[in-house]
Amino acid sequence: MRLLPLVLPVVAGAVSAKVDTPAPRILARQPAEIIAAMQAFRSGERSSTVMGRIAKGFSDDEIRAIAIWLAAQH
Amino acid sequence: MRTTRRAFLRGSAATASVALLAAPALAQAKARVVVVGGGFAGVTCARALQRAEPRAAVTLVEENPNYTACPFSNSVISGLRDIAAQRFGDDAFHAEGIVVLHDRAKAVDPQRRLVSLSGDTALGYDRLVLAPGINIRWGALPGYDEAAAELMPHAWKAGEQTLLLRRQLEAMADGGTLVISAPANPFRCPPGPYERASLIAYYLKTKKPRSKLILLDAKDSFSKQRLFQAAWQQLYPGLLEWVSLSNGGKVTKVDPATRTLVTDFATYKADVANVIPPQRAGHIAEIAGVADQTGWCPIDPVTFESRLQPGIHVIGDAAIAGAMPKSAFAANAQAKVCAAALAALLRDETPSSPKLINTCYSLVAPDYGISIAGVYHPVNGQLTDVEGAGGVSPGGAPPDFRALEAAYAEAWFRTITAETFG
Repeated sequence: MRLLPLVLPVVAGAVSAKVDTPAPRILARQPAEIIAAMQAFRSGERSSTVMGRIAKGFSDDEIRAIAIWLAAQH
Repeated sequence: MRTTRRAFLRGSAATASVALLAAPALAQAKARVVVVGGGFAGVTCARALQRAEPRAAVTLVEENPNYTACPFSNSVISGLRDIAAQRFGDDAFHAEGIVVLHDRAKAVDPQRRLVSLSGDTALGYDRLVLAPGINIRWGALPGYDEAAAELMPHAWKAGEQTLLLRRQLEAMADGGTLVISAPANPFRCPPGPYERASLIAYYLKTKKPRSKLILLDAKDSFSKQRLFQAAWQQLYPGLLEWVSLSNGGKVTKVDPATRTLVTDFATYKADVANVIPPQRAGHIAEIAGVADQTGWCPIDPVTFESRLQPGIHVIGDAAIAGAMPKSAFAANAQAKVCAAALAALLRDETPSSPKLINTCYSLVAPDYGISIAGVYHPVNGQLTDVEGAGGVSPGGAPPDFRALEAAYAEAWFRTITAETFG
């Protein structure tokens, strides 16, 4: 589980505030916010280009681990 | 294959190395990890490992002081982008405690755990990571050798070859014929030949509309095929012709002097020819004995440790990564998984089973992007698609959706290069 979040930062332009990107930033958000977003992408409730296809690959536990890791990044 | 901590430290103390001397001195012997290859895989792995395990002595060996990235090099060929936007230096990660050696890895001795560099230098390692990318399989396509590539560029390693193809395209008269040949699987960047054909077609449509582009293919199907073909029908009708394997698309021979490509069915005389040839893992993989008879490197999907040589890990395009394509995104993801596994192994812990993501964007036109995504996990020793996840952009999406994906494609490139090299 510890490894999971490591593969994520490239997905949504999350790596640095310095990068110019139209993608929503996901660093330093509350875990609950990320969990809700990922679950909404997964169910299709929230529309997306690519995030829905990616979110479908992760369980609730995995999404929680990702959210906690991302929230800790600065 | 597990290394106990004691064996690991014993190995560390047994042989001195440049890495050990150049790294900040500590009282205890530091675990030495050598990474060969300064592309998306190698640099990401070296930096992720240094962050995950600051006590490790990480040395990165890369011959070139600058890296020229392949993603978006098709935009350079078609005049939409400057090659300078593809070039990245190593300033940022020099400062992180990684020893960077601009040198060539000549040989690997897996038994003594040594990498030989030019001259008499040799680096000892406890773990070696090879991220050598691809090599062209010269001679696999009769007539296509290094001299032929100066006349019929492959442009499948970004740099001078990219610029050569761009110059040839710019010099071609309106009404000329450009021929691309695409290889059989597996090869670097599965959607790459089709993005290239698209962007060259865009250039021809806007600058030299009487010209013709023929894409000869050694395959009957390819990545994002329906999306590409629908876009070609819409944007480049009559300009871009794809010839599948079944329709005689497999090139069996080339003659660089006359820029001729030969198939079993026909002979194509090109004004500009782009031969994307068969490939294999980078040369050092072969030398180190981690490549199998296919030319690529079988690995354990949890640690990316070679199935042929214990202690050597292979990541990026060189690896046989199951369902994962050979892409910069995949290389970056594999590098992080490998770094986390190495950090665990150095602490004598068991690496956790990973999940990896890939997304490959392609531009069909500057404002028309499409993507394919996947999520992968190890199943029975192979990286396998997570069922129900991944897939391609929707068919029949409106222009603003395609424009958004084109913008995301560019943002992805800025993000991954900032993360890797910035």
